[in-house]
Amino acid sequence: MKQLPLFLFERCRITLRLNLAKLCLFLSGMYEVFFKKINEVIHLTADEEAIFKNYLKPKKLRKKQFILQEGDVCKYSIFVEKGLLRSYSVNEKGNDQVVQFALEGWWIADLYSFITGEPSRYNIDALEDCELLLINNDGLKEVRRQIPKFLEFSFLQMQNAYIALERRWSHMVTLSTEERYNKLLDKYPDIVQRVPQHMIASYLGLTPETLSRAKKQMTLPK
Amino acid sequence: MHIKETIALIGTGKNGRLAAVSLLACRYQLLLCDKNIIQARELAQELNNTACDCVAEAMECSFNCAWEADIIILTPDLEEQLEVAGYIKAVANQKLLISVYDDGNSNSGDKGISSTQQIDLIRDILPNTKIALIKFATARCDKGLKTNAIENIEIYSREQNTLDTVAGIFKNSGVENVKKELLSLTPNMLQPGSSDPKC
Repeated sequence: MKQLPLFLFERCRITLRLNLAKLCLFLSGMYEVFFKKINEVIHLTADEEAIFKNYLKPKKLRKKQFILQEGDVCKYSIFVEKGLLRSYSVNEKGNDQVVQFALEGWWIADLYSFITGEPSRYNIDALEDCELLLINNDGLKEVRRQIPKFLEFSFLQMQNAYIALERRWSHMVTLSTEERYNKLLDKYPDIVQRVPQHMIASYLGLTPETLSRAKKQMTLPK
Repeated sequence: MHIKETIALIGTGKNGRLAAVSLLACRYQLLLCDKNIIQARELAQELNNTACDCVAEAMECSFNCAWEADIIILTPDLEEQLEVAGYIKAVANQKLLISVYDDGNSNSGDKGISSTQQIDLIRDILPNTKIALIKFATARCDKGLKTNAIENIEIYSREQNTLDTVAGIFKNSGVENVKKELLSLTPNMLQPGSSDPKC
């Protein structure tokens, strides 16, 4: 039987104390948007927030780096604390088809792959340098078990995802090019400002040329 | 198509170099961090000049390095590993951490610390991190950047998944002899300073 040297315990204690202030600073910023968003729907106590943090994986992603690639299983539901992500698929002609953008405070994942464990058909990459919080299925289950009121948040999240999907589909089939662009501009001006035009065009189901023409038309006096 | 994972390699001394060498054939983004940034930059350059699949980059801050990484490898002596573990705690959550176990390193006082004790010491600081220990059982770093410098790696962990993942990383990188050992999880062993069946 061996004894651990005392210096190691002492060293650990001092190190932890020294780093506590730094960690508190980082921690408060790292989860700021995340808990703000959740607390808009359900109120989490400090203890509940601490439980939640145990299951979150903080991750920095550089611009153009991938967090999910086609063929891989989507293991995480991704929350954007800072930055901008894009989810897209590549069609048979090799063109990108943008499915979703995710700004600060938004969640993004391939839900089908995340829930079923099947390989994803989508890619998710960073359009800007990002700070993300990732949670896997087991983590979510554990959070729901330990914080039952989080179920309410999950339900609302799913509901909103369904509404957004339904609305996007209906806009694609019922609205004109100009109307679709105007809706996006009204609702998400940040996306229009921060995302390159060819990606906006892809998101709206247009070619960049068509979007450019539509924008020109909109600036002409009626 | 598989995603290119990011590995934070903290410490670019003897063990850091061995760890870097053992990952040469893998398609990783390697972030090298050391108090001696010049040494880290030199190793990064050396790795990038080698015909390997990984892309290396030197970084000064271990916190940022670990924040960006999917996998963290701690290679300095145990005393420094514990210090770094405390520093990166907030960003190591739910990540895979590989600690290099060096029983021959007497400078830092590691002598006498068993693999289980080392895992438990790190786990006390990082309770939500998946921890594995590796030992370069037969390795020579005087061969330069050649994978065959690593002949044998021993891996220890308390979790089967972690053990398999880490073994996969090194096997994929061309290390032929990867020995893995699952360390038992008994309440007695979870107490710091408790008896260690490996001793």
